[in-house]
Amino acid sequence: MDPWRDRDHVRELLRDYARTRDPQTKAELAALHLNLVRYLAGKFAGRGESLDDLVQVGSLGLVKALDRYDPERGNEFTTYATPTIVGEIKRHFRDKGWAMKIPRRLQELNQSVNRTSERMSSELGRAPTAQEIAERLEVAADEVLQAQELGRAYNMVSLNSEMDGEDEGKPASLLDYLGQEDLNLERVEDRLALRRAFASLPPREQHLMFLRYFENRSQSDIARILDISQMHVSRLQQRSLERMKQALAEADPDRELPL
Amino acid sequence: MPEPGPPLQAGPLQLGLTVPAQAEFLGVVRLAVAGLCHRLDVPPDRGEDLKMAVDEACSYCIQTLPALERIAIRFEMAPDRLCVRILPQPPQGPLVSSEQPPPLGLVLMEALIDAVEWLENPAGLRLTVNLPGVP
Repeated sequence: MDPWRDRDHVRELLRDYARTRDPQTKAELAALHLNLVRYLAGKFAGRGESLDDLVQVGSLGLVKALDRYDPERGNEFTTYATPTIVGEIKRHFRDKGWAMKIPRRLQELNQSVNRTSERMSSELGRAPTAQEIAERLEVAADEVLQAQELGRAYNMVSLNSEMDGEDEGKPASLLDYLGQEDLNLERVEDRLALRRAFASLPPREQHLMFLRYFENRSQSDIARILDISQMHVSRLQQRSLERMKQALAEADPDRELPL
Repeated sequence: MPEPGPPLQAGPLQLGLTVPAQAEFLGVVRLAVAGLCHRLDVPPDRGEDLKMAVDEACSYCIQTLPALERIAIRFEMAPDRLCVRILPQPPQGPLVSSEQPPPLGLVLMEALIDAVEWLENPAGLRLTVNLPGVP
């Protein structure tokens, strides 16, 4: 008989049992509600216990619920029995120290997932999907994803966490192993940009700038060498700098000009 | 094995997630609940119970609400509890009828976590787990 299709009959049995406490009626009621236990036990099946064990534990809850149920209160028996059955299943997990086992189980699954993923990558020539890994490991895809996500969190390493350093007695951290920005690299870029800007000047201005900035000559020296007035040297120098600035700005508008 | 980083401090923090109202997306919701509980250092069994309750609530919405397009899930973290609001989109009428016995999935939900509240405006559910260590 399907209890969901003949609720009146079940209600009648429940009233009988409440009145008589007849063991045979109780057994019949228990059998009629075994699907409820299976349904609820199935909800907890992904937590590492066999479904049969959970159904057995849940059945204890069902029996307790049958003994305590009072049909005169008007509640549906399934509504009344569900918390009792769930409570029994949860107590079972609690008694087995399950809360402590979850992180370990996830870490173990994480390792299995990693190994399987590597193996399947070689086989398939591509990274396997979570579903493919789940099928290979015979677990739910959700569990694979959760193990990957939570297992990864357990492996998170702080940049400041201490590592075995090469020098004895001197603790090193991951941070110590990270490189620093090499300022000379930026200077190389500057020099290349400057060379291009310098090349944009006419030959006489290149000569002037070379004397002024590479040989550190004074404006009067340069005036003598180029046979022009110092005032003219000053104007040419200024104009050359402006041209170079403009050339640098056109080459890289975001760059901060060193000049 | 290096030590994991410190868990997030449970505090007045809100997170949201909206998924299409399709069973295929419930896995995303379950993962979000699991990940958040892990980071808030919610005891694993309590986190699993909340995950199952959220799953039941979303399944109920998908199975019973007409014209449901999306489900918005809002996580609200207070120092002493973690609340999850499940809000059908577009907003629906009353989610349960007081004249009918509650569906089994919802009874299960109530057996799993500390509080289940039916919200009216907007219609939805609020599921709460209390966090340990708070007097």
